Amino acid sequence: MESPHILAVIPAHNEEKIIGQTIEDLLNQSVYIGILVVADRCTDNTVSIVKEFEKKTIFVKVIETVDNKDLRAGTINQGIKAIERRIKSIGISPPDAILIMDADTRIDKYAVENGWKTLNSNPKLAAVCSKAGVLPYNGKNILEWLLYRLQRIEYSMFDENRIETIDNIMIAHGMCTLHRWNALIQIGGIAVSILEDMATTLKYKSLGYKVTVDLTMKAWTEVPLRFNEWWKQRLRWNRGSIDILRQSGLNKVTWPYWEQHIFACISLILYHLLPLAFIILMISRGYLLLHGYALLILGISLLFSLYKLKYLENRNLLDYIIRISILPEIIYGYLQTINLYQGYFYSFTNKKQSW
Amino acid sequence: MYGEPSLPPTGGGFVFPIIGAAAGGFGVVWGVRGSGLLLVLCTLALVFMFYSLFRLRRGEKLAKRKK
Repeated sequence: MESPHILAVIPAHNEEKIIGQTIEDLLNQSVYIGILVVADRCTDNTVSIVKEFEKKTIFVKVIETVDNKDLRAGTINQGIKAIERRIKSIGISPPDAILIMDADTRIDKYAVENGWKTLNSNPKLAAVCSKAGVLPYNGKNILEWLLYRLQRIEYSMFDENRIETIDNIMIAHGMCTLHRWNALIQIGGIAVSILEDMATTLKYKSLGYKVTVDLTMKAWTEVPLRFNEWWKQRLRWNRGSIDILRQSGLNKVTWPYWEQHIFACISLILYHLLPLAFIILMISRGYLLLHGYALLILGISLLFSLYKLKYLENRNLLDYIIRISILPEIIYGYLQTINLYQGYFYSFTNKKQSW
Repeated sequence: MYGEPSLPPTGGGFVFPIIGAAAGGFGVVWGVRGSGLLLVLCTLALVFMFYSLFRLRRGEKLAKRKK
């Protein structure tokens, strides 16, 4: 394989605890890549840590944002502008691809090489996102642990869903995605939005590009372990996606996203009505006897649910127990439902929120 | 991680047939009107589940072919 010219752009906001490890991961890639850390209003030692790397290797650079009002998208875009300026001033050729990843994401040694192989396999591909793995939990709090386990399973479902729609996945996530440079420049950089990865994916699709996932491009992230942090993150995702869809309207590109919301709304009703009806009936009849055909459906569904755990890395008996017992995931689903309702409410009432 | 609208309910399409089959299955035995219809809906959900499985296998094959 001809060695690709790839640059990593890492937006960083007070990441002193993890930025060193992230840079090490990138320096240890199986292909050489340049690393640009874009420090956004850091008040800790992030910049000085990266500057230490700058002294040791020519592959690492750090810049600081100026008047950034566009959150993460603005931070990345200032990095892209800096690259463009450098290309023009020195007259070097532009990179083949840009890896955009979170400062707290850990990345496998072959991730960039594998991602590039996929991106390079089809000129219509604008971006390839990584597997969405979850870093291990080392705490001892039972509630945090449970929230962690459920998110771990959920993230594997995201991967499973991306494989189902591999031709054209819904979102090339911001955690770790390799973007084709020309395509990224063509859409004017990362789209400014609270859910900039979804907005960017839609921009690619509207220009006829495709986006995909490569599960051999392995990356892992931390998940929120406190309920209020989780709630805020999910509200941002839900609210962000609804806002983007409302702004984009209904068209060929956005229809699958609207479809998801329509199905979600239908299933939400079933979700609430069925267990309620079941409980009322159980109390009124006082005995349990399941129809044979229903038992068959139940059995097949449960087997299917277990099969879908195949995308969960390092799965163990506990994951199967959580899945087969159904209840934890149902409760988790209820919480997400309420969060989605809040997202709809905030979006349609245009409530101002700070993120 | 930034961004993955996670539209609830999660569970990749198998939660509805599980809840539905449980409610419908008991309902039929208890003689509750509408339970049969619920089982029909669950059967439809089962068809979608197999469709999802088909898409998954197709996606896996495509992913391998890219390499």
